[in-house]
Amino acid sequence: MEDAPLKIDIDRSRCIVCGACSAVCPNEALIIEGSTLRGYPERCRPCGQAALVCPTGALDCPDEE
Amino acid sequence: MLDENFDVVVIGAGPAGSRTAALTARAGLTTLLLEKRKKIGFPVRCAEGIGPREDVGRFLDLDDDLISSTIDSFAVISPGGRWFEADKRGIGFIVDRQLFDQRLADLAAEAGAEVRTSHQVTGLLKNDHRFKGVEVTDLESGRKYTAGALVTAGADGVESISPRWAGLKGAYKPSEIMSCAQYLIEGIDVRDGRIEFHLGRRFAPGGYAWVFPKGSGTANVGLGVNPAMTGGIKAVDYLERFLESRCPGAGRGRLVVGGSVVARGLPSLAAGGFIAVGEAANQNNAFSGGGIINALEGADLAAETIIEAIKGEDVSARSLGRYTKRWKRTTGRTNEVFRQAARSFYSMEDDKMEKVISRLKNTPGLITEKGVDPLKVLRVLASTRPGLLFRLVTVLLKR
Repeated sequence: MEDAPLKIDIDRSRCIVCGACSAVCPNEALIIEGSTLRGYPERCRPCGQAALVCPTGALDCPDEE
Repeated sequence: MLDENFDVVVIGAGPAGSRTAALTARAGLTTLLLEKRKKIGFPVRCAEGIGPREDVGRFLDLDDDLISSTIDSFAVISPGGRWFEADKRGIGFIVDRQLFDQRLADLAAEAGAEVRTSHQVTGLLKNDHRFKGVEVTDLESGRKYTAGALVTAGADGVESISPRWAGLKGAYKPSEIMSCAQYLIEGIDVRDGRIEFHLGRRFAPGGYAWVFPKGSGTANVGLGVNPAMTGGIKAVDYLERFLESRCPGAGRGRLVVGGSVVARGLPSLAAGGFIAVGEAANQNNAFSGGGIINALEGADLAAETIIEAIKGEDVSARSLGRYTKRWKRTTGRTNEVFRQAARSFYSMEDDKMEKVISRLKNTPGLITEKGVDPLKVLRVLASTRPGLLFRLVTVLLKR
């Protein structure tokens, strides 16, 4: 059975669109489009790397615990 | 059918992309420079330090309006809080990075490149043999179009995907990205012209904290940490701790955050019809985190190769591969030495780092006109870590 698509939780008040998360995401689930960060939850395989490198804590990963 | 055709399409109008576009346009090649952001150089994601005038001057005139302040000395603060200072007049500048990037893009436009902002590249076009250009979305109108190119240059920075599309690299590991945060601080007690590097795990595990004065009691105060060494604590939280210690109560302006690539150089910088340049190609310095001059040097080599390849009517991977060789013979090699030094130095426990810093202080000729001599650093590091000497020799012998 396929996993349900995950929600990518981006705290817009903290995200400064620096691109560190895009750089480590293996699946292109986080892309800077113009001047905003867009999440593609259907591509996300929750590996926790994006949340790890985010300098501000704008990304919350459900599997990070 | 393609909507438009160019000799060269460049993805990203940072220093690497704008410089590449300026040179190919100047050589008479039709050049399109695409930038996804609305405004070039904005928002700034950089500590804005840059090397001496003779280095920068090879690429553009460093006018006064681009300079926030001049650096003439620096201080290294050890994990134990000891200050080591050195004067070195003219060692570098703090620039206004937004104006700096805009100036480089203007130079590209003046050379004849067409510059489009708010235009996002969403994919590469390819046939059986090579990459043939890009798919673009105009973010203002929503219009999608294709732009053909004999050579596409991917200069899309730390978050770059184009070199991934071209098969030149994969996603970075967290340990290959320094997680950085910085505030513009007002009312800080600093000596103008002296930059500070604070080391140790308390403030910056796996990296360092910096104070770069910008004049009139303001400074860029920030740090970079290795995400694999932080136990989940964010760069901004480390920055809070550092500010509390270094300048408690000082006013805070803009927050700047970002990732800085410290990964090994790419094995190949070119594919058929495609090259990668700048931070997208891991061309920055893993020891200092600096990347502007490196990106400009990479752009010069990339443009030189693109021009030769197009004039010689051969844009195959092999032909463009001359760029990889040129890079690896020059700054690419120095970069690998710096990366080995960084890996060894920044992962040290505080007490060991304390000893190494003392030893470095007594190393004659450590600081040259161009900054820190990476070989001297490595020699000191190697005396504490024998395995490093072997890796160093391997790097230096590699062709």
